[in-house]
Amino acid sequence: MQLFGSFAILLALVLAGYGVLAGIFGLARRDTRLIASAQRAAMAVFPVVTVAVFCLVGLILRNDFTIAYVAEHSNRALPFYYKIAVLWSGQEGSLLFWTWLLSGYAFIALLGARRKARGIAEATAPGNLAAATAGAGAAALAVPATRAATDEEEALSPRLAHRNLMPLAAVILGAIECFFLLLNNFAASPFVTLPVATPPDGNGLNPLLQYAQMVIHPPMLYLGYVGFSVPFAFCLAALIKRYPGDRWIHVTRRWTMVAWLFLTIGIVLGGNWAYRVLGWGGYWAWDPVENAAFLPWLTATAFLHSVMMQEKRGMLKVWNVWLVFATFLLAVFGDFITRTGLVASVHAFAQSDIGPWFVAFFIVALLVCGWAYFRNRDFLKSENALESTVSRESGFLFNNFILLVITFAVLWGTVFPVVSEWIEGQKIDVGRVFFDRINVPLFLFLLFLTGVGPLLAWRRTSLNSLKRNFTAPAFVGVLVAAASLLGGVRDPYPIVCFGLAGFVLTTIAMEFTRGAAVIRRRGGGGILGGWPAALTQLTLRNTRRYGGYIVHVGIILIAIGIAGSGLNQQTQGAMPYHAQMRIGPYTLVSENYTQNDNANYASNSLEVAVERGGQYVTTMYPARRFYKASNQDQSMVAIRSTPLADLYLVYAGNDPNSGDPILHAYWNPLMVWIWIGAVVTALGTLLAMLPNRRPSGGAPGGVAAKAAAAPVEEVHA
Amino acid sequence: MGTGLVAAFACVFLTAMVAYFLLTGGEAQLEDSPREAELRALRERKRTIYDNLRDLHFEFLAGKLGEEDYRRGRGALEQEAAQVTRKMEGRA
Repeated sequence: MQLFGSFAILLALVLAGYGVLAGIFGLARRDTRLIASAQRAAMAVFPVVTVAVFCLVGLILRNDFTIAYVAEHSNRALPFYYKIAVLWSGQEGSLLFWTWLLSGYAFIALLGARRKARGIAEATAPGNLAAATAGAGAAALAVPATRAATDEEEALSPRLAHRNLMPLAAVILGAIECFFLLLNNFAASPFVTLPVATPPDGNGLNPLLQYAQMVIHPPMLYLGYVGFSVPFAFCLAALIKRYPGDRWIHVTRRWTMVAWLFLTIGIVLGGNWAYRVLGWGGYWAWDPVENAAFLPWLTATAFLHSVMMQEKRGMLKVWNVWLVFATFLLAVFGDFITRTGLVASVHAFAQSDIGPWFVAFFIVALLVCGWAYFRNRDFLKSENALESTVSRESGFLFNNFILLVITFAVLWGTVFPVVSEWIEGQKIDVGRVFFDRINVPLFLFLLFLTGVGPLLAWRRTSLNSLKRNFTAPAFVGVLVAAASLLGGVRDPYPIVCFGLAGFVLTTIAMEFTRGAAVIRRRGGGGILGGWPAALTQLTLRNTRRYGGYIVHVGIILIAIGIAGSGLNQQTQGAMPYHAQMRIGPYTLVSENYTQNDNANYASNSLEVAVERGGQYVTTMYPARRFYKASNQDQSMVAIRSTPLADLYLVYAGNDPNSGDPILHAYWNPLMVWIWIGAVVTALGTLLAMLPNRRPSGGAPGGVAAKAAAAPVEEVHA
Repeated sequence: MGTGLVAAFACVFLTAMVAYFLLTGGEAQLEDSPREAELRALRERKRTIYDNLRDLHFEFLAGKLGEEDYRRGRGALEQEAAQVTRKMEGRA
């Protein structure tokens, strides 16, 4: 199995290399057979790497400790599901896992291109859509006479862009695969055998990784990181080919949304893991590896907003291209930090000498981006200029500016220890205060823009429109801020955050209700004619816009949860039998102290009765485990979540003198809204990825249909 | 020895499968000519402008835009659409 796995990653490298070379020669000579062969090679990489992944998983499940990776990261007593997680728990395995996901993305993109090519061939065949997009001449110039033709063309354009850009995008994806396969083969092979005698058991999986979240968190994060390779490949291909029009940006945007969704889920699961596992009562510490995931998320978020400027008004083309490039490069940077241990982090589970490989790849990628940009920068000329500072465009510009400032601040804070070591010879950590002081006000301003942006008109907004749209949300915002002040909140940041949350949620509610009201007026509420039907129709007719608003609701809920941390309380003390402790509205009573032992770990557990106002509420069991294979101990946090606050108990060890268990208790208000907000954000993103449902007529879509189908002269009239 | 033989056979089988996949299949489709591509881009631009008109009208009906903002926005979009149409006619 070890030999077969090694052979598979070598074969995958050969295939990826062939795909790149054959693709380049095929495109240069316009040789359709060679291009097709290159694309098939690029597709074949995925099943071949899958074979290698299966081989490694097989070796882990069989406890084959002749393999260094298995001996280092697994052990016999490890449960089955954690053995699967061993695949990405160490450097060599996680790099193979990265390659697998990357080849999987490339496979799906190529498969999609083949399917689209067939669909285009059918749609443009004689007798179907007459000269819809493939033909030139008078027929192609005619404004589509019917809605059906318009819809067909609308559906066809992004498919054409996908198909036309795929050969070059496949070459770019293949080149990225080559880099990772070189690492898999020559720098960090997971199939290397131990140079010494086979140990009877392995070192075991890091106890920090033995949690349900860790089985799903790294794959999600990696799907996000790796996913940005696809929009990068399409964007770079469009730039190099000088692909006319803006439909290529649709392809890039859709793939970015996929990766953004996975990265968002990955980041939140990581925060959830930190909260439930690390036992310090928090979920985000501006740790370098957390920041590494956050950086591409920020630039991708900026892109998903600024891309609308390009689609709607043909503006910010250079900006968008560089945002896509930066997102990809930051994703590679994130992997570099996680895998090389460049900066000390609780998350950096590997330290190695593959750093120079990453530096070389990063420099080559940057040079290619720079070359493609300078060679084709005239292609990215803006079609329109900013007409007013009070407009939707300026809202997006501010949004992007703030996101970029946050990105630079986080990047600087993350790499500062390395920079300071170069300059002064010692690592200086900027600490949490630096990140909080810079980013909290910026994020609050971003929240404000989240509410303002959708209320502004494109091009220019008059004073009348401003009054009409802002009065009610501003009133609600001030009311909520005043209520939180009266409710006892004294820290200015949470007060501002709650006020802004009220403001933004009101603007979003107005967007939905106004739109649904139009549909109801036009009889588009369905048979029932009610608000739910109208709201559903409204959302499905423009999934991107209204899905985007739902994402904003999710972000606001997350912000409310984060603001709640300004009200946290904590206390610590020894808890002998029947001792009591007070935290928030609760009284904690020590009821029992137990010990357990199994093949994987030994544990100490404290039984704590929770009372509120003299009434029993629940019993909680904070514990501490000692993992035998790795000789490490780990806290098992007990959490009771309610919509108002979390009660968070940590078994912090035993008193050295009395031997009594020590309990660290936290009371974290509004915490659960972070996780609820993340779910809402994910659902909103999924909704935004759905295609729009066209109205059947009558409703405002009737107006839309007329506008879309009518000749320009008619629109003028 | 037995395991090594099985592994070698598996490697040969995998290579044969991949080679078969590489050597069979049709040709790739190349994109349109530059002129066709340019026309297509203009048609796409025109459709985007119509979409913008539709959104503008919807926002007006929803009460988000005043009469003044709506007229200004509509006029600018119609002008843009006319420009694109002229470009398309010029390339016919």
